[in-house]
Amino acid sequence: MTWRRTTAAAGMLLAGAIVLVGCTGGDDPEPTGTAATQGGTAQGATAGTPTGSTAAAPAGVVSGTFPIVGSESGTVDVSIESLTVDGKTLELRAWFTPHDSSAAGDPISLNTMTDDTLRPSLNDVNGLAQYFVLSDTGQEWETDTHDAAAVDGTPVLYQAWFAAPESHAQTLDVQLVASWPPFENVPVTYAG
Amino acid sequence: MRAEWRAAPAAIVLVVALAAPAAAADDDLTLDDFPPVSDARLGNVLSVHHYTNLDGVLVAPVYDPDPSITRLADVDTEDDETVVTLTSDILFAPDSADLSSKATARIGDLVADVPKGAKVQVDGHTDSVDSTAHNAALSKRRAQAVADAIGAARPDLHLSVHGYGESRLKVPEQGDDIAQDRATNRRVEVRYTSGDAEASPSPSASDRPAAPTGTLGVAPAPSWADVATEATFKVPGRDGVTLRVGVEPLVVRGRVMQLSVLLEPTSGDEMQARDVRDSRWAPTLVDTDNLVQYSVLSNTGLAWTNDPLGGVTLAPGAPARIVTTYPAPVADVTKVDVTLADGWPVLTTGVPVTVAGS
Repeated sequence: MTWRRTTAAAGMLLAGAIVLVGCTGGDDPEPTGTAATQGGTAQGATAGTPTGSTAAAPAGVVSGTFPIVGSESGTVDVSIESLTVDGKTLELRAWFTPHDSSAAGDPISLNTMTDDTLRPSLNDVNGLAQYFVLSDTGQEWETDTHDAAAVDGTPVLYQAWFAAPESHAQTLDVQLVASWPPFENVPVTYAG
Repeated sequence: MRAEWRAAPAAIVLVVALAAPAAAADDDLTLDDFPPVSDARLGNVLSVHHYTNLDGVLVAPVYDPDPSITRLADVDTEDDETVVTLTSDILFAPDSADLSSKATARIGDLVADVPKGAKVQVDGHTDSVDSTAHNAALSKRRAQAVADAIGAARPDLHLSVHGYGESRLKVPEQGDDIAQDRATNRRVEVRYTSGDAEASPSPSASDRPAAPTGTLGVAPAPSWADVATEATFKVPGRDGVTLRVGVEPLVVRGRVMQLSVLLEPTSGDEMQARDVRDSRWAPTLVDTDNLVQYSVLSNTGLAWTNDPLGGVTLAPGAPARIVTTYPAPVADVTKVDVTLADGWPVLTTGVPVTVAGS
């Protein structure tokens, strides 16, 4: 069987693109994992209850509502689904649900929701350590924040991987965006 | 994942390069034109990213509290000479040479073991901020205040007092850590020969149990209603920038203490936090009861703050919060003095210290 070189190249690129899209963390409709129910939100942040959404984010262990950075009226509900250590790494799973009527039905990317300032850190106030997204390959091991997007009122999953805490911390503070208040004392689950 | 996306252009180049020899022969491409998939290819850098640096400073900085804790006195003995370096920021308010009663008593303790009738030299030093004449006079007044405290405790000693101003800096004042450099240079040195000096008691940060860390939840949004003290002033060196600045009560959580400062320009365009300061945001805390100074945890080269890049937006209408993290107190403390930045007004005396969950 033969085919023209241009056809083959286009086909390979298309196939590659499909594979790559499949790897973005932003479109996982059925997250696994068990959401704990403890805790809640504090003054200044309200529990995330997407309005007008066609799909809701999992309950998560803690949630809050924050202003969309750079937007006059938009907000985003953020629900931390889990911090899970498996082997040498810790996975953060968080759902972002934007509420911005000015988007006129267009998808709102994680970058837009955070004005390109989504740089999570996990802070261990007992172990005196901070953890940033693994990046020593030159790539940050996280969901593509440019392409992962959701329309008004629907959730999108953000995942990031960190080094497992050396202190075997039971809770960590999660700082997602510098201008947002952090999630404090988020429980860490250890696989196995 | 982002890594996969960014690999795509490189993968395209690789595919084209591999196919290039066939193109020289004809335009038809067959499966035979492609090399077999090998284990090496499955494991090459375009397909697999090995994250092996799991404890580097850029991914997992671990902080040592000790470099961020400065006690009143640092005692260094070499040969026959003992030098007791007193930290001016703990002893004195900015531009002041007045000693508190607790500071006076502690200085007396420090010279208790100096040999009877010894000659003691008391040298005052400042940083290079302000004029040379001002600094020389200030250093002399501070040295005299320390000498008076020594004389009160040990009238048998023979004291000589000098004020060197900024002429003998201990460290160069430059770079991102210029605020810390300046603090290091602000000192009074007590020198004498022979005898063994004892440093002030130095409990370690690890000697104390960790404090509670509070409960699961989201920290409160920044609000002027929550500040312990605030002021509005023109930012030195920033024409036309007037800031409302507030300090929330400090919170001890686990093995750290956290300071939250609210910033809001009163008018004008929005700006970023780094636009209102000359160096890294690194307020210092002084426990005037126990005579201990705390600086931001930063021995890794990174400063533990929510805004290490100074990118938080400051805009009229809503306060922005900058949080800096320090070692937990080494002694019981209910209030500290906060120095925000060189040249900024002093507005933060006696800021309450609380424990998470209390």
